[in-house]
Amino acid sequence: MCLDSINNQNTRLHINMGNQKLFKGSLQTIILKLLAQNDKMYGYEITQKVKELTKGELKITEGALYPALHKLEADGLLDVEVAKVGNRLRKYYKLTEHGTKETANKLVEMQEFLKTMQQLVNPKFSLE
Amino acid sequence: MTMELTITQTQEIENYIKDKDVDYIDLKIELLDHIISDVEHLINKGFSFENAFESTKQKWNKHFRSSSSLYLGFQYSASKIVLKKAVKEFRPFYLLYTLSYFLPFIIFTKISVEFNENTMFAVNTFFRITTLLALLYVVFIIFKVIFSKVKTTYRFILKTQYLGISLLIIAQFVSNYFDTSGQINGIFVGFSFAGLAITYTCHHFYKKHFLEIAKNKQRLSS
Repeated sequence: MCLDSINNQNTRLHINMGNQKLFKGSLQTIILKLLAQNDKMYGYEITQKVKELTKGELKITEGALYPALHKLEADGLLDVEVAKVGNRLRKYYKLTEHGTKETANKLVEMQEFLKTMQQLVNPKFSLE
Repeated sequence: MTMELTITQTQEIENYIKDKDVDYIDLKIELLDHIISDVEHLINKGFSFENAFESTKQKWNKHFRSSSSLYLGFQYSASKIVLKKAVKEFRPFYLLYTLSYFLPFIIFTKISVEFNENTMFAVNTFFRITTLLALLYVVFIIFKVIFSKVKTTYRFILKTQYLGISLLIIAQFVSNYFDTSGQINGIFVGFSFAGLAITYTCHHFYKKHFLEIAKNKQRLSS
């Protein structure tokens, strides 16, 4: 395989830039939700999991992922564990007790937000 | 079976991180692991190491591009990924600076209160002592951080704050925070409060810098 074919794959992943902007504000909630389901995860694994779950629709950029993870860690929502994998170190993140509670709050907030958006963009088909 | 990189290939990636000036200890472990994972993923799809690494570099170069921010001052640049983290950490302190200067300035220039001599003496003494102690502490921090040599995002933030020491130096030349009618000078008080806010900021990131070094040592030894 040549470099062009890899670059084409990268380009395809960047097609949905409009959606990326919508997802941007939800990055912390997405990370917390994934960690609530997966016990502990590392950076690369998070990006791959999101890509897989959204069928490539959402691509978390590395430039946004790490500052967000570090902020969550600084806020006491995440704990870090370092393990040796092959000939390198790997940093795993997992939820703290406070993080678990905050995840529940953030998911409720997200559901409220989605409900409001639903009412705004499609009022006729409101569930209520 | 999934293919893992050799020590020489890993070293090549480590050199790339160093060349791009992102070998900050609070980021390095994850960046190295992530880039290696990207390369391994492509190798497992059938690419050669050289092609896989070249393509991965193209993806990461945009995160490693030199960049600057209004929050930390346009004269200070770092890789985009470092800067993004630095700005996220620093933003609340930017608000603290602005408030610590403008609040006393607005309050004391708008409200006209006359103070008696005892209060004037107490206020002058308070500012003289606190700003002098703050100045000495910031100088101590600067020396400690320069000699620590280890790169962290917090060290980068500290570097951007050193110019703030000028506020504390100016404060040493203020002999009286009141005018002849006994009213407090909002500009001088604002300057001194901003100097104290910078001291607090430096203290915060100085602690974080050394905490990160200690945490990293612990991780590497365990």
